[in-house]
Amino acid sequence: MSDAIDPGDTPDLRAAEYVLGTLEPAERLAFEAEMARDPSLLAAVAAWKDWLAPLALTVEPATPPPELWTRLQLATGVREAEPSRQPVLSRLWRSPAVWRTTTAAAMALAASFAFIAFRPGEPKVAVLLAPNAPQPAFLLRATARGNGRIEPLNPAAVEAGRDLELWAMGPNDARPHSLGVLPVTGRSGFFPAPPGTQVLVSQEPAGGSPTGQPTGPVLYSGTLR
Amino acid sequence: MSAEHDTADRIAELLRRCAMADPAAFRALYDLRSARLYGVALRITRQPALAADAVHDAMLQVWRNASRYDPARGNADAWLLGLVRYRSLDIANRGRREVLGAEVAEPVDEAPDPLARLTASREGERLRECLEEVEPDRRRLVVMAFVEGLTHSQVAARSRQPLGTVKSSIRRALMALRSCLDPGGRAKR
Repeated sequence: MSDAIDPGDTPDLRAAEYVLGTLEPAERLAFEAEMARDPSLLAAVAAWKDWLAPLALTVEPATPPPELWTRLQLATGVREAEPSRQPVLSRLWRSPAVWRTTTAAAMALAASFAFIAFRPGEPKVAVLLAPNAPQPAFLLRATARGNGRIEPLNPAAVEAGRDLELWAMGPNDARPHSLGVLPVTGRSGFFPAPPGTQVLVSQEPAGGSPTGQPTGPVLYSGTLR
Repeated sequence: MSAEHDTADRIAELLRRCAMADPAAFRALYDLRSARLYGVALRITRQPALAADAVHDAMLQVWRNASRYDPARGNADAWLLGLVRYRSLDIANRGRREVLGAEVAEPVDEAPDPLARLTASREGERLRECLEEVEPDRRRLVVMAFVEGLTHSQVAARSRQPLGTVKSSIRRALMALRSCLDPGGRAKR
């Protein structure tokens, strides 16, 4: 191949340029349409992705802002808790067998939640759990009229110079909204939240998040049911 | 076997578990790769908020569509990177580029030898060997385009070369890379 001659426009080269990212926006769209019609291009694109991917190693990694994980948690419904905890707790709530087989302490704990959760109608509850602790940290109860109370059950001590902030994100909300900074002794107040609302407690600078969105780690989370 | 290669295997395993809606796998994947992905997105979008959006969208796609990752079709790490680059390019093209119009040559903290970092993985080592066979000016254009997420015309503006020259330089570099990386032409054309 002579240096003077453009190698021209082949499907494989377009696949390479697509993966490299050099196609202009309109060309990019045209190539995607072509790909949809011609699956053999998918294989070419996959091969080029593998070949060029190591170029990403030349880029310095950068720590994403902490709220990115919070956003992902909210968007996916993934809890920071270990995967086994939530299913175990909800099984406890549902299973009659648990009343016969668990220890008295666990029964008492489960029974207190079951009473609230299973009472017909109000109130709705959210049990807020920490990722790595088996004990519920806060219990939030809300009535359909929009009154709620959050009670500390077993939260860890708050770091000096930090506050805990309570957040809610309804099933149709794009972002969480603040319900205010939490006094460790609990709090009553207006809590307009439909079932399925995600309730979060994040650690924030003293006085609460400066941005109106969670900025610190989400320490506890749960869903209002 | 290199550490990066083990990482690709680990990512494939985490994707498999994400496909089964395993939240711990999703968190582990985030811990393992968010800094690499955010770094890549940041270079392309050049704005922390846009880069965070790109990683957010890509990770959300991972959670929802992890079952679409087909191990037979490629390396898991490359697939993940592809998702983030795709979102980043999309966001960058929709936003900043159109607003800015003419490209501004921005100082980039380029490592003295960016290719040296490729030795961290077996695939990277192979790519580096092949890149070193490519004429240096063309190689620079390819690396710049990939890392900064630039289109042909943006590379032309940045490198102050005519568009046609840039296009054919990049094409020649890609063809040289292809014949070096895949000498028998085994990968499907």
